[in-house]
Amino acid sequence: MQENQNMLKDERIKTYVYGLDDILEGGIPKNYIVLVCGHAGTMKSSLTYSMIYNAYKDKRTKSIYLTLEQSKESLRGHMEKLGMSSRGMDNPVVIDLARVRKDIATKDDKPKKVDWLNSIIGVLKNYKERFGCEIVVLDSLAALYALTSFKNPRAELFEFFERLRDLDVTSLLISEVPTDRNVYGLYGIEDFLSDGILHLNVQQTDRGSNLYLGVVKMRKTNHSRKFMPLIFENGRFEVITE
Amino acid sequence: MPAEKKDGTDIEELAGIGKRRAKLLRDGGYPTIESLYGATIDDLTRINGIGNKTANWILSAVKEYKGDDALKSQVLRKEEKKVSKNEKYSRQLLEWSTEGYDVSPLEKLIKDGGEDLDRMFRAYEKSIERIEEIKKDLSSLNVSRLDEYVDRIMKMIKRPSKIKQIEREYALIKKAAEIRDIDYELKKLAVPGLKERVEEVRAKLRDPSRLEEVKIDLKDLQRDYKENYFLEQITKEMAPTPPMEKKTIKEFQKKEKGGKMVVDDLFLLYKKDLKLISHHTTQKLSSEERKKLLAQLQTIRSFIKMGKSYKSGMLNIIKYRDKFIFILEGKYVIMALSAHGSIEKWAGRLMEKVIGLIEKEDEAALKNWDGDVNKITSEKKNMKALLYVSAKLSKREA
Repeated sequence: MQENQNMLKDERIKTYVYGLDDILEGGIPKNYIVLVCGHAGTMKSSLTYSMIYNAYKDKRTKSIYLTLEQSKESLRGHMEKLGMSSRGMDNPVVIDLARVRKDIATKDDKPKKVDWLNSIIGVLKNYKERFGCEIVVLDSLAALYALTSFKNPRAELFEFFERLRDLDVTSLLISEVPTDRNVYGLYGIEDFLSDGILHLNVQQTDRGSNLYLGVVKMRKTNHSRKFMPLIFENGRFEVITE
Repeated sequence: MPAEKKDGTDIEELAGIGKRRAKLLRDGGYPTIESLYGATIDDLTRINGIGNKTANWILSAVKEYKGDDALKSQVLRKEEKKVSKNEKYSRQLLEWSTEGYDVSPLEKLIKDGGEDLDRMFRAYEKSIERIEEIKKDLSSLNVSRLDEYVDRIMKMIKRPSKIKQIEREYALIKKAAEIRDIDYELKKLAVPGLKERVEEVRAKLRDPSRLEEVKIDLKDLQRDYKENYFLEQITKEMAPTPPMEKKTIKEFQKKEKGGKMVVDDLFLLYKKDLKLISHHTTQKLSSEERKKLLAQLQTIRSFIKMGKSYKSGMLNIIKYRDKFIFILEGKYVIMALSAHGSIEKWAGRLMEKVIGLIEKEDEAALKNWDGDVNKITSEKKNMKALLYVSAKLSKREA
């Protein structure tokens, strides 16, 4: 009984990245908020999409991908090229908030102020109740910030993260790392508000560039902090541990 | 030697019992012939797959086994005493026919002295086993709207010689049930924006050879349906709030020139949790109309809950089908007045007055209302008075 309770407490969502789940003691702890961050072109979206795509294929885990930058067609087309076709799959669901953003911006009767943070949370809650949802991807935090005029970013972001946590879903927040500062989010507080950080990094070599992944932070997990080469082959991501 | 178990003779040794029935008895707690000594018809018919006739037959076979050594040896296998094949087959035929199976082809074969008797019996036994499986599957399958298929299979289900046709019919039923379920799922997705695609896929469904293709399309549509749902919700959340002030009443008045204003229903809700305190109506309602009334109440609650268009300090008006609904809140209660015809300002004034009266008289009860409607004693007379006065005003204005 005690063992069962412990197992329940330690339920994890697999990343389906070869090698990474072992490092994470089975995956990302359920209902955690994890930042997936890196500079542009570090495959943040592809890596995150592959997690929810494979989670559905393997365990029918329902998830939702909110894209605020790239259009749904563009994202799906890209994922298809990487071997992740969504034909015949009712999950993951991709929400083209980029389109809504555009629609609102072009409407004559646009409201003066749109509360994106609360609106997204409110609709996610309704959506989850109606269709079920275990993982939410938000692509990206920077795009969301661009839509929001914060009076007090610290307090408002804290509230946003708390409301996200209250949804009882695992959240993967894509965050572009500012080049000028050593932080993982624009406001520098996302690091400690989140429960985990997966950092993607590109290193230039003589022959080209290599992609690396490091687990900077993952609460309740005894993980390595090494940056490992991340490769994408045959439709799957893999970290090279040795 | 017969198979002697520690505590008796294996049930399969009972002549004519057959493997299938032996299994049923074993699963039912009768592994040996001796374990059946005290059993009754009721005991046996409790076992799924054994009916009255079969139970009777089993018990008489057991009785013979128990009471008569000579007969006992007859029911044992060949090692004990050789029983003629025909007698064994006759017993088997009797058992099958008691279950309603058509055994005439086998009877004819026995009569004609056919050589293939063993093979035929084995085939029959196998067919019956399969038919029993199909019957079990059918009992758990939702066969609504599949009467035609069911009738066809039921006509041949007792004829093991038709097993190939039965299998074919069974496959057809399963496919028809799947098509029916998919069509039902598709219909649920026929919302604006997806309707055309849904109809295209439903058209494909008419060709059963495209079923697999349709299943893929269905999944795509389900995904798009969810995506549309999210987008609709978020767009609604971000829609600009329409002003709901005097200007709106004037606009409504312009649009709604449908003759005098007639009040149909009054709802009183508790402000804190939107629980219904009372409903009063000027009409006699059929059960169908009552359902519509519930939908109306739901609309009122959603309008208040959504909060976007709802102005708490003002008189709100929403259009609902051929009616319009005034919504006004007090300190503790919210009143909704549903009417048809044209819009008149006196409705708002009356509502304000009645809310004031109810809240004044029942303030103590309303402050921390526990859900007991009997505690709000002033509500009935005041609400009735509102209906009465509004009827008078309607007549006067007409």
